[in-house]
Amino acid sequence: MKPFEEQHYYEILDISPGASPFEIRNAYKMALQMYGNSSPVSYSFFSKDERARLLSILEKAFLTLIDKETRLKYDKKLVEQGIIDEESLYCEDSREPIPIIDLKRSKERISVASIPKSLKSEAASNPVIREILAQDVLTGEDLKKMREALGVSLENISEYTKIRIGFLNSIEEDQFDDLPSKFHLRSFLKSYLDCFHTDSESIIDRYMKRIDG
Amino acid sequence: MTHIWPIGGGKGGSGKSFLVGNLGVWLAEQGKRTLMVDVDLGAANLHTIIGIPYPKKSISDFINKKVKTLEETVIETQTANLFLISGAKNSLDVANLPYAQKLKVLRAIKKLSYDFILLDIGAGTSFNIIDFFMISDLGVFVTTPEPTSIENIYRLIRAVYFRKVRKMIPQRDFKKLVETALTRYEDSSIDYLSALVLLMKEQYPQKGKALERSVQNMNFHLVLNQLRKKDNPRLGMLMCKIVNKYLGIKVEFLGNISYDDRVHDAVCEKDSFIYRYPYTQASLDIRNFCNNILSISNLKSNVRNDALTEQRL
Repeated sequence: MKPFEEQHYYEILDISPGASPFEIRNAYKMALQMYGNSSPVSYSFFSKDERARLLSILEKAFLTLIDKETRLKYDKKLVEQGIIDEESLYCEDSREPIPIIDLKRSKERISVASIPKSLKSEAASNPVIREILAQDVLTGEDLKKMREALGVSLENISEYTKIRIGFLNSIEEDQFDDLPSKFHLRSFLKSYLDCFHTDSESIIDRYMKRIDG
Repeated sequence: MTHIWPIGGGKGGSGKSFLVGNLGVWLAEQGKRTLMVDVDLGAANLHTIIGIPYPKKSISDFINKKVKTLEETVIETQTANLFLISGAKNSLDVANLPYAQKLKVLRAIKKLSYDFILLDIGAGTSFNIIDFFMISDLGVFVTTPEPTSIENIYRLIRAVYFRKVRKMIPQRDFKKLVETALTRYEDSSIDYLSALVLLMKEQYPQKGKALERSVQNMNFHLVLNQLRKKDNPRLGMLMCKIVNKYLGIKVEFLGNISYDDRVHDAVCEKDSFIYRYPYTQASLDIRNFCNNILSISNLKSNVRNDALTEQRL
């Protein structure tokens, strides 16, 4: 038989101090069902004045507890007054959603970020690459040399471009029959070269010269 | 051990006699020797509900000293194991029972030896009614989902509480207590009853403790009768919650009983509803209610037996 004013917000809402926001919302809904102005449950149980006070306290309680910051402050006050135990407080162990696709990949996968942007400027200043790029016609062998000069693995490129490693191999070994079509080859080449060259179009043209004849 | 179950509920027409009648028949069928007492003194009709239009004896015979013991007014019913003390043929002023005679009746009821004694208590919140209600620690309140009925239930529960306070303090002191309570808490936010209890605990600490104990011992139950489809089925449960929280009285919810038009037919036929219409939702609900009453009683006697063995040890 505690008067409303002497109950703390958790008591008035009939919840434990560890209640989650979901529970708080439900408790408030339930309380309105019980104490609302047109509620049959508490009809005649409270006087008009009592009901008005109770409802205003309920609203305050709900608004305080449903907000993270104000709840934290309020909890602190209750703990300081020794009304509730710190251990019984609600702690939010929020969990990030887990992307399902991640579960299928190996743990030591090379992240996309492992091809740094600086590669492009490095490629431009590398003497080996410059020498190769001076040629009129380029072969798979040349592409491989350039890639190795930059120290990028084929797996790394496959990861980044989402092109199957077999296709990349075929490109570097000039085995055109293993590739689906000329159109595909062009597109693969573009993705491959975009990893470390600024002027991919001209390289593609010089590579394709041998097929277009 | 005799279980005395007063069944009442403030407002008339909520189905008290109807439930007593059906509960009695059910308990008797389970092999329990059951006595129903109609203490709705001015407006008795339990005998009609169970199909005895002209009972030969009634509780008045005992009150007016026509017979010596209450046991002599018991009549048998068509159901085996089921007995009735009727309130029919009462004299017209029997409702205004003087205090001494009421005490005599209460004592006599307590002395009767049956498995179950069901008291059909009338409407209202007069002292006579409340004293019958307080004959045992058990009790069932019957309400319908209408605000008129709910209002009277709360009033009855408060009246029972008030009566407890009133009984503990001599008349003159009580008057003083009320006056102090009224002046001190006039502008305060708490209601009259709480103010009285607070003041009593302060001025008579020992009696306050005794009151607390006796309130904790009370074990009341609530049944929500005539629940129609669109009514909130959680109404009764929530009512109990409010009473527990704001009056400190333990009231347990015993369940809903669905509204059924055929109840009217059964009453008109003066026949027991649960046997006339056994496969209706209302019958199912009533049987659930009866089962609950039985298991609560069994629990009580178990607890008592345990206590007795402990004492002997």
